Amino acid sequence: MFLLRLAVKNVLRKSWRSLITATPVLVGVMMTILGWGFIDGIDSAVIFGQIKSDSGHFRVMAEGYLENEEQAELDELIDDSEAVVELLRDAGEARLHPRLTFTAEISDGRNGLMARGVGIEPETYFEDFVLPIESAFTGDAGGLQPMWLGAGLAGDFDVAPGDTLTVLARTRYGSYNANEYLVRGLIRSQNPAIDSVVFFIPLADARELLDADGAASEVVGVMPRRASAVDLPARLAPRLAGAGLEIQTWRQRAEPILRVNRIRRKILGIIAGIIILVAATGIMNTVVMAAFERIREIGALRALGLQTEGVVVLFVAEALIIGLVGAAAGCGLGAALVHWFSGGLDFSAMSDAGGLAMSTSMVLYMELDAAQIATAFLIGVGMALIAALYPAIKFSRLPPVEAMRR
Amino acid sequence: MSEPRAKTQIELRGVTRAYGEGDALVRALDDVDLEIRQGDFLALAGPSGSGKTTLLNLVGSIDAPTGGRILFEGTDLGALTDRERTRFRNQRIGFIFQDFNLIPVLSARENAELPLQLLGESSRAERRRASREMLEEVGLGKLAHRLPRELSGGQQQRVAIARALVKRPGVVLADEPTANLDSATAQEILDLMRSFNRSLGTTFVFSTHDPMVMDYARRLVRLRDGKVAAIEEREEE
Repeated sequence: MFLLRLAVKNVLRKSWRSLITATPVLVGVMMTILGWGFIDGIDSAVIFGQIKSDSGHFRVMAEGYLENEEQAELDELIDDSEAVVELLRDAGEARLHPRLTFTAEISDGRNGLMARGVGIEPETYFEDFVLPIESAFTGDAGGLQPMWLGAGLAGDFDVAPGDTLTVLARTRYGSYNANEYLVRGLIRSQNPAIDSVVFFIPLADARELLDADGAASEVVGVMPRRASAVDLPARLAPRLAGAGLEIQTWRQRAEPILRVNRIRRKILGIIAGIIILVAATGIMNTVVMAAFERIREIGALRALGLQTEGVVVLFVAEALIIGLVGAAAGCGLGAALVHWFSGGLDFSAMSDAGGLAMSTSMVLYMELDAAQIATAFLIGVGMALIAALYPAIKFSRLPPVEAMRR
Repeated sequence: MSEPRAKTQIELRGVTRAYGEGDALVRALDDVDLEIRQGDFLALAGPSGSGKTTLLNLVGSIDAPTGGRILFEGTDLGALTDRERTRFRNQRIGFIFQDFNLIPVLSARENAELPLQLLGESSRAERRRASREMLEEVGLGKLAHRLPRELSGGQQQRVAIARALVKRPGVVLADEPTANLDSATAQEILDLMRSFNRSLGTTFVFSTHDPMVMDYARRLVRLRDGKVAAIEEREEE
């Protein structure tokens, strides 16, 4: 207890130096918390964006469909989506949505743009997926079929709900077909892959347009909360393979982005490691400087009866106090920033400018994780302890007579 | 009839302390035999480099001889481990240093209390009482809360004396205790040391090359080139 009090007084004796030494610890701990929060936020955004705006928890499609999915060709369709829905009835209480995806040109009569059409069953689809309809037309459709347009795509045409657009697409058999649709609503999902290129029409209309009666590109499953889709491929694969189908979970779909995030996590670890190494060097340097400055004092304390381990405890306690202050402040600041960003960090401007079309939300929500904060705190304090140990042991072994002679 | 001779407290037998080796070998102390008696007020005198501080360091067991033996009340200091020597210093010896060597972040009272803190055998209340009493005895009762930098050199040395005596050690070793003080303050410090020597029976061994300080000693050991050149017994003033 006495040594601890002495350590506190020694730390306060050079308060500026102590503060400067604590700063890299603060930065290291804060950056670690922020970095983890950022990466976790991206992971959550990917997962949320992937599941709730696009892929659902899993998708079942015809074998070979995935290879040409980007082109949205109609070569590899599920011919009878109802049969697949039947096949998946016991797939973990999932709500199933047949979906027909195709490439089409949409035109307002003056300009035309290539876009991605998705045929859905709107009544259930908009219930299970988070595709907020920003503005909607509630007037008389005049017999026209409805379409819901990504807000970005609508912006390109400068159309509003109530306007009409023509959709021109190749049918399943290669001929062209066109239909006129009434824009019922604009969707702003925070998923640029949807908002900027996608329009939705009723599945029945899409089938008619594409001459693909009863067909679907995929059947998408949305699981109830807390249900897991992880074991579905293993469970369903034999059944699906027999029907010429394959399954992809959201995790498999998001794997490229999650892989990038794992690399980001490693890079963050390296950066945090470097910062912490700098902090450790600072602490070691401070302990060495303090020991040299107070070497006669150490000699006197040893002469008066302080054992060698007492000297170690004294210096380690001083480093620990600095580490504790730095780590606590780093945790406080890091937590405050994560809390600040938990309201959402909007990257949409960046994605718009960069032309990014990731299947993820461009608003990043960081989450405050107590375990991560505690881990970062322990890293900061542990680093201070380890950094102080070697010089403390080294100086404790100095014979008192030699220490007092310096 | 002469007074009965006091019993030997510390005995140096053929003590040598050498540094370096070969041609660079220097003997700071060379084959010294000396007896220090219980209650001695003994000065080690000699020019710089004569071995005064080395001898104090060896008796205080903060250094170890390269030859010979030092017996402290029958205990061979050379046979103790580092841990035992540290404990021995804490329990049995008080130190007064030329530069005072007070801990700058501790108040006068906390400095005086330090050996008891390190000894760890008394309660907080007992330690506080003992350190306050000791500071009263050295005339610093009212300045107990002050930090060393807020005290004059003489006052700091008084704190050092209080620190050396607070645990009532058998021996106080003082290395040039008045070297950094003006002559009036030096006399005050020596008077204080002598009064404790008389009242508590504590053995004082101090080094000096100041003739005024030598005059205070009851025994004067003159050192030259690491050897005992003469031992003078003095009458009490």
